[in-house]
Amino acid sequence: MNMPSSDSKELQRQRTRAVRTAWALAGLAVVIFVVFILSGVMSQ
Amino acid sequence: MSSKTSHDHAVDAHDDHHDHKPSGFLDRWLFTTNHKDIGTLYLIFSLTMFLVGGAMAMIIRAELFMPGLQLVEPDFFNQMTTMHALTMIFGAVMPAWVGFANWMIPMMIGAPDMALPRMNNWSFWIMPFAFLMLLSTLFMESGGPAGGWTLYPPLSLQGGQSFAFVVFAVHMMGISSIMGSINVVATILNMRAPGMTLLRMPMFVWTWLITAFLLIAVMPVLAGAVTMLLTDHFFGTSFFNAAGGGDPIMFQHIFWFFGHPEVYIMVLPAFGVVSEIIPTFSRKPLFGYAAMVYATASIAFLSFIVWAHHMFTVGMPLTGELFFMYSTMLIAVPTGVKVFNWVSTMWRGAMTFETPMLFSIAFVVLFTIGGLSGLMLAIASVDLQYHDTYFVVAHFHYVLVPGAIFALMAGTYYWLPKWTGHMYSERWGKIHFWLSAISVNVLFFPQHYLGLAGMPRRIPDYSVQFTDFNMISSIGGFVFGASQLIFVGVILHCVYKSRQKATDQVWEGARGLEWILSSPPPYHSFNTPPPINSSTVAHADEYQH
Repeated sequence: MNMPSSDSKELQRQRTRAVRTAWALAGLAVVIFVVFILSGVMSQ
Repeated sequence: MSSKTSHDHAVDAHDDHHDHKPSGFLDRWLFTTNHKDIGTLYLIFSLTMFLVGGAMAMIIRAELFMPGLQLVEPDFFNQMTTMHALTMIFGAVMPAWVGFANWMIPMMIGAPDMALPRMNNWSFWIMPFAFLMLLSTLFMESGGPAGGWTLYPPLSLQGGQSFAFVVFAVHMMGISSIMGSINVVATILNMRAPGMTLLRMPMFVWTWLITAFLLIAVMPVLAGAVTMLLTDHFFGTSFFNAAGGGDPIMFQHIFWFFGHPEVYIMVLPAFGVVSEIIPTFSRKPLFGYAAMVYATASIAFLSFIVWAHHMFTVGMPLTGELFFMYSTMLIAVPTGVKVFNWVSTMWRGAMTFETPMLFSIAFVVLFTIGGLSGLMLAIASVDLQYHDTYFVVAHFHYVLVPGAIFALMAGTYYWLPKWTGHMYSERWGKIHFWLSAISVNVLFFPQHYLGLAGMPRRIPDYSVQFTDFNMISSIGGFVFGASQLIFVGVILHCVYKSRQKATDQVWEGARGLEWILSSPPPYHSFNTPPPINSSTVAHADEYQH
């Protein structure tokens, strides 16, 4: 089944936004991990 | 927005049946980026881990059938209690919910697939290797972890070389969970069909969105804590080593900052599944949809500020005890809202009692028992008596077995006809339910009495006064364990042997986008966005009056 081009463009836009969301969340997870370890190191 | 009707989408779905599905076994399962295939892989993996963790539970209950040492050495018993918990939590329940999320979320929000399909593949395939590594420690010279799933130092630091494998396995599970959660959030926030606003989403999607945020917030904390354990063990640091100026109690705070939200990570999706099933078999819309969403968010928020109720006995200031006691009790309010709404949904509904509904009703009743014993444990002064006894074991097993696992079974029976295109055997489903529901109470209810009488947890031997209740509990355990083989049999029969075709809607009272797709659904769920209206939205309040 072929997708109408407008739906295809919207899908592409959705995926671009999704990748941006994913990077932001991954960054958040890394920041939590790093800050957590650093707080332990600095309190030593 | 597409002007296609629900029927057109169903027709498209049938047309699409034979398209784009990889033909080779490896292409289909190893390299797959399809949300349904990955969902299936997660579910198969979690069922396997459920049986492995269940076998460990059988060893534990066999040893505890009588006082004295009968079958296994004490150290192996401790390894079994530790590995049973790690396997069930990280290998069975959490991956099972990710499997449900993979299968259902794109179909429920009108998306063609998950937002990040390649990462989806990677996040699954990390799991089997993580568990191979974890389980392999049982065969190493120093044995598997034996200090409990909480990995408290200094006990966990006294383990042998295999501890490094345990830490690395936890890291891999954490990475897998975080990637899965990122995918869920990215999908829900970006891939919804036009018109599928946040407050029109099915409850299962809402509960998973909140669960995913919980996971992203707390899994890095666990990863950090076990990394510190690793460096304490192998690189001479003293984060938690009192002899070097560290603080072992700090680990407990950190662990439970992760550990308490972890409980809700396992239970919130269960709330979502039950909130889908009860309206279907009551033939009524969910009572108080918006209240359910806010209650879920409230529970998630509160789960971050209650962690120290797990460790009242370490000694803390009175104000600390009072804060954690009252904040824990506060969770009963949004949880009570949920139970009230489920009961109100059933009230005067045209109820029928197919297997998914039976498991859901049992969930509501038995999870509430687990919640009530949790309230007892929240009372700081009383907890000094109950702490580390079988009362705690009874409490969290009521929350997780007739809670999370019954909801997993309810969801499996509910969506299995949609997934496979065939009906399961209702007769055997009900036999599975009644055996499970009776035996799970025989298994866990006596453990309340054992705990109140003072039997400590995580011991292979016990005083003879505890014998009767332990025997009853073990018999319940053996029956419950055997009953789950029926569950496996029902699934295999449905997938390979059942001749009864499932309709697209499957259940008379079912509402939601997944039910307008064919049974089984097409390989790619919605290539064009489906219409969002009163017949396709599961719960939105605006459509319910």
